[in-house]
Amino acid sequence: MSPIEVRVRPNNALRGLVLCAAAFAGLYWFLGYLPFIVWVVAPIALIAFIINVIRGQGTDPVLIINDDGVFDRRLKVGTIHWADIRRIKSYSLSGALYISLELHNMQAYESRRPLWLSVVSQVQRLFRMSSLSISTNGLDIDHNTLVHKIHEGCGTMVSETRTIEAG
Amino acid sequence: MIFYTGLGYLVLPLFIAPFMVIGLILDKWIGLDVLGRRSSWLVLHSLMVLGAILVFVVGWYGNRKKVAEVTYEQTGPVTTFRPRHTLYWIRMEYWGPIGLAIYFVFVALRSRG
Repeated sequence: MSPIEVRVRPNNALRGLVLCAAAFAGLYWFLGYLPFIVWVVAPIALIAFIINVIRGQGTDPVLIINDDGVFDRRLKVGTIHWADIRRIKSYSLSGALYISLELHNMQAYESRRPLWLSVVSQVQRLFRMSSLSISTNGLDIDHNTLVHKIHEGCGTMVSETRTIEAG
Repeated sequence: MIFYTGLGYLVLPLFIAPFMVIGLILDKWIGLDVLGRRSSWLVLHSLMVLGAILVFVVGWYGNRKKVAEVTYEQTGPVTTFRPRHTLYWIRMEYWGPIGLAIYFVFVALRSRG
């Protein structure tokens, strides 16, 4: 299989901030005031955006697919080898797309992650997703194409996938 | 939180669609209020049965062709055929009878009270 490098789409953070601002403005226009939760979320979004601007847009790929397996920098488990993947499932949580990877030796991979990330990722299990789930929003590859590429790496060509929606 | 696949989210809208649409037509054209105290319950029950049939037919039609899901077991890949349209992991067509059962339980409880 030819190696594939996937990067975050440029200006994704700016697009997110503009969408947030538009949503808050719309909410203010509709309600006539801003709910408390907005006052909590807005500063967090702004701080995240500033940090993103200071760190700059990285050019390194976040996801690499090659003969060895699939490597997602954000999962912090290293390369997930093709032979270790048991099941690939597609999820959409209120529009946020994920590829859930169930592994034969989940514990071995989990043990490589920092404790805080292991704890945070347990939330995904509430939605019946694996704690090793690849977020595909904001990437420069289509979600379904990525699902097909991972299946291809595991040795099967699938014609279509079923996405479990939660919303 | 609603969990669904495919058209699973349409279960409730389809279930109440005949009640809403035909109920509105009956009210506007013949002046029959299906929820009125003087109206026969038979009309309301019939519309709910129609809703259940609609859910069943749409679900059954949509789920005729299944989606192949591959599990990579250590012994080799295993293909499982899954329904396309589900709501809370239950096939869409099953929600027709389930919805109808819930409705009649609700009616029975209401008539006792």
